[in-house]
Amino acid sequence: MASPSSQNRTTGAFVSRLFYRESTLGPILLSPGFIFLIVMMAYPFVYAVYLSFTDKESGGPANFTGLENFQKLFSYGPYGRTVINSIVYTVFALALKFLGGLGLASILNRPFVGQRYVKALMLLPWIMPTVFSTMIWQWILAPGFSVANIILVEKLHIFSENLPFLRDERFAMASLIGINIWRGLPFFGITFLAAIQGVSVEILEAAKIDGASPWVAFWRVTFPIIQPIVMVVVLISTIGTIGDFDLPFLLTRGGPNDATSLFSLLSYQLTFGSGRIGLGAAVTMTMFPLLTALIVASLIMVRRRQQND
Amino acid sequence: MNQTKRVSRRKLLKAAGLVAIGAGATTLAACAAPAAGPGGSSGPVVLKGATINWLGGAWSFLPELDPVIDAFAKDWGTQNGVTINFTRESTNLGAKIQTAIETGQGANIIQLADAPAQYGKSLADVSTVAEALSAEGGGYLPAGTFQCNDGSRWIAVPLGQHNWFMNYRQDWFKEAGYDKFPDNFDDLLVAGTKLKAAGHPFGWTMGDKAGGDGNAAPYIMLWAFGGKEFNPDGSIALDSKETLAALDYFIKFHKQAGDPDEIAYDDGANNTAFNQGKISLTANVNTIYLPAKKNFPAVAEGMNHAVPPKGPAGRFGACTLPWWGILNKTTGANLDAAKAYIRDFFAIKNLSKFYQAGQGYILPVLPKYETEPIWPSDPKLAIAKEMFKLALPAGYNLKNQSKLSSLMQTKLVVGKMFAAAATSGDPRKALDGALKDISDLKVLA
Amino acid sequence: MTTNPAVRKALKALPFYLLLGAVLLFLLFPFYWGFVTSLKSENDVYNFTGNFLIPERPSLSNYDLVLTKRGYFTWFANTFSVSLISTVISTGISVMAGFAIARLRFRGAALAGTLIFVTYLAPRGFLFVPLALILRDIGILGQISSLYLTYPTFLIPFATWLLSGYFTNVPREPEECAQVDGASRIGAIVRITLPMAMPGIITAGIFAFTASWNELLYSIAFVNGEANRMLTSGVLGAFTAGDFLIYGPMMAAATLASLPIALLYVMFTDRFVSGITAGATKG
Repeated sequence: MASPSSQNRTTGAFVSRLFYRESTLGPILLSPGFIFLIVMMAYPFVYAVYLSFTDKESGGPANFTGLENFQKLFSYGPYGRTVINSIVYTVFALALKFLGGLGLASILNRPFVGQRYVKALMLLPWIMPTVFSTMIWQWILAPGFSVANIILVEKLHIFSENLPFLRDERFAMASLIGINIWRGLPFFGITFLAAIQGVSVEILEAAKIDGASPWVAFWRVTFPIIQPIVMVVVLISTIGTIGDFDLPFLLTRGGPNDATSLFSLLSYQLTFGSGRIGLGAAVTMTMFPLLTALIVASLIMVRRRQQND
Repeated sequence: MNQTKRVSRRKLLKAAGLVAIGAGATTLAACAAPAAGPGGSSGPVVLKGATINWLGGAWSFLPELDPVIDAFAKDWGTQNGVTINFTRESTNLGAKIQTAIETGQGANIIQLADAPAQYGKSLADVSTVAEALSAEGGGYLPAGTFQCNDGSRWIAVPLGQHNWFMNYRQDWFKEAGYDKFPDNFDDLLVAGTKLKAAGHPFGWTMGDKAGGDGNAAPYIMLWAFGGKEFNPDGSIALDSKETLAALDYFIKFHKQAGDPDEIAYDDGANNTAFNQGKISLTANVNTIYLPAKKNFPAVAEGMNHAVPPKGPAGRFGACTLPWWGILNKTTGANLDAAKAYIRDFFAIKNLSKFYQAGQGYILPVLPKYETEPIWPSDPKLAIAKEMFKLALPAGYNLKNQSKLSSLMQTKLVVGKMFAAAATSGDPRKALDGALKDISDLKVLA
Repeated sequence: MTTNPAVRKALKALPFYLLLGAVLLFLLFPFYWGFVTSLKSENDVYNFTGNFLIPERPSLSNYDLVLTKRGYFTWFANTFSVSLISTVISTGISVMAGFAIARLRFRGAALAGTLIFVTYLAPRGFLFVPLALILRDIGILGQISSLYLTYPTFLIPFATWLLSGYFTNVPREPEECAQVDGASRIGAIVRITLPMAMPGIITAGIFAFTASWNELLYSIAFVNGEANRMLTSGVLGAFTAGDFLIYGPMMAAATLASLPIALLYVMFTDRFVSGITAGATKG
């Protein structure tokens, strides 16, 4: 019975069964990613979570200290400012990218000369390496030789004196938010546009016949249909925005007076600047609940809007 | 075996250092290149095959300096059979150093200008090297000991000091009626008021954006009015009427004489403003003048350097001190090689070339250099010699640089305080803000 | 005059074009300004008199400076190869995982999907120290290959999530038909489903490539040696450190470094967009 050929056949059949059955093929296909993420992410993640409960300093041992790091953070002034900054930064940038993205999509939705090229060009802010686009913005806003000020004040006379873009606490935060919007708007606009163009013409015609104004038609007909895409884009952007590091790191270093310090930057400065690895990890730990809250809130808001309508 | 060799090496270094007091560079040369002579047999045997990974920033301010380091390393490495790898990083250097500290890989010698106290737990004892060099050079100036000795041992060796000169437009000062640079801060304010009215404001770097200038320029003003960050016992001394007087002065200075942007300057902003003819005064090393000679000859022609003005408490210069240290995960032959390499490169004979290439950009911390031919020949930089014994580092009133003091520099607490005073017009409020910042930093210290 | 219908039409469209122009100005002015600066000599860069928005004496000397900079092509080649390899590794792994999560019913599929997405939330700095230790223990810390393992940590979660959304929307029938016709399951997936999912795969790949190209922390901290330097750190080091930001060459370098990514998007914009939106509808 166990002739070599039938043995082969059985093995072959066994293997092909493995690759056929969903209960086995699933785990097989998942395993490379899973193993990779366990080794390179889950393990470091757990380790970093552990570090956040220790007094680990660079070059020193990690002693478990319970919640001490978190107590320290709450009494550390820049931390409080960082939390508020991060919320302000994320909420304003997201809200404006969301509204601006819808606006941009509706502009692009109308046929005009050169539309194809405009669409391609428009993506530039989003695709350019942040390092380099931030250097350009630095050059636009730099104190002393700000081309933005020279145009607004000296050439167009819109303002009577130079705007303190990176000098004043509020202006610095506004500049940061503005650049974040600049960077993210194309992505919002282009994806929203694709979503809007996917809405069937019949439905819109029906709404028009019912006498709905374009505004009402948009919010009651189009938006609910494109809402899943909107949610995904908002979600991706929330994660990216609240964890934004490159922009404050390269442009303001968190200043003036910690007015543009964000979670990732503070964590970085504590870890690498002051060698407080445990404390730096603790900063990131406290970002997770906030991130979750923001994601849940944005999902609920989008859902509720849909239910109300 | 290894152990005894290391001991003998250490003895050798110490002996070399002691002899060096009298014999100077000759002994050092013997130590530096023992392979050259038939007598130098014990040194190279130990070092041969060792590797030194060097990590630091590039001397991008003055690119002429890196080749001096590289050239010496190449010769020295060949002679001693040691491989020396250089990694120069301008962004994220801190992350790279932490990686090396945590993993024990990637760096043996690090070069930084931030206070070594911040890396105290990770730096090897280099007392033998520092003491030998100190003996050779006539004893480190207080600034050097303050920065690199933690009170019980040397955790780093001072490479030199950057001094902040007054960079001023002599031509415009003359037009305003000043043949000489004002000798005290009161006169400076009067001159600045005139010059700003003539369209040439001053630009004194304050605020928390400039990691280099921002840790020097504010102190020149603070100390001149008698303000200090610390008492010698380590307690905070900033809350004083002298500090308030300095803030008061800067509020007037900023309003009457200053460029509005001076409280947001980053390290490059004052250089650009000066070379573009926007400001008539700033505190800087020679990195305004040298590029000006190349690219902006009219500015180079019209400018000059001066020592900082006097205040009620006297005249103070400010410096920052770059250093080399050895990460303490370096062991065995690599450790010996790293020490020997620093010892030899920092010898007067060799380091002189480095100082000379800087033309006043980086100055020695050892008095014996006063008579060495390292000083810039350009008369407009002659001031370097006057400044090198005058300047003090941030936190100097302490006995040794502390972690808190170092964090205050990283966060630019003092510069930020001046900027806040100028913004709000309220010295007390600015001082309270700085005290709050310091008490926050105590959480980290 | 106003009765001319063509003029009337143009006047009616005017506000629209003004609005479009304003948006484009906001989005594109920085590039224009960067580009103009890159054409100016060091002395002209700070000259704001006259018509400074158009270079008087445009010159390519900054580009010359960048391209003849020792190491520039090495940086470029390093960044390109690391981005490509990380993208291939990440996309390959993510296609398998995304397909499994979206299309196959097996125990733990939903949980695996959630867990993979959760790891996407971890910022880079958070994992930094443990990752460095792992790389040391594997023995590749300091080498360029350390990036092949670290970049996928932030690429795989997102790509998997995007692709699982995409696969949900690819119809199952063609794959099932092929199996009825005698193809093996794997064969049907590779020959039928993967080509249908190509826009999604391209989108994931572009995302991965861009994120790798822009990386600034791991590429500096985990790799040593001049021969292994990446574009971002090379350019920042060469043209920004110290007292001066050397804006002319810096802007030239920025323009050059952005070109490959820009080309990638110009080639794939339409597919890229459809990849996101299709993947998102059931994400």
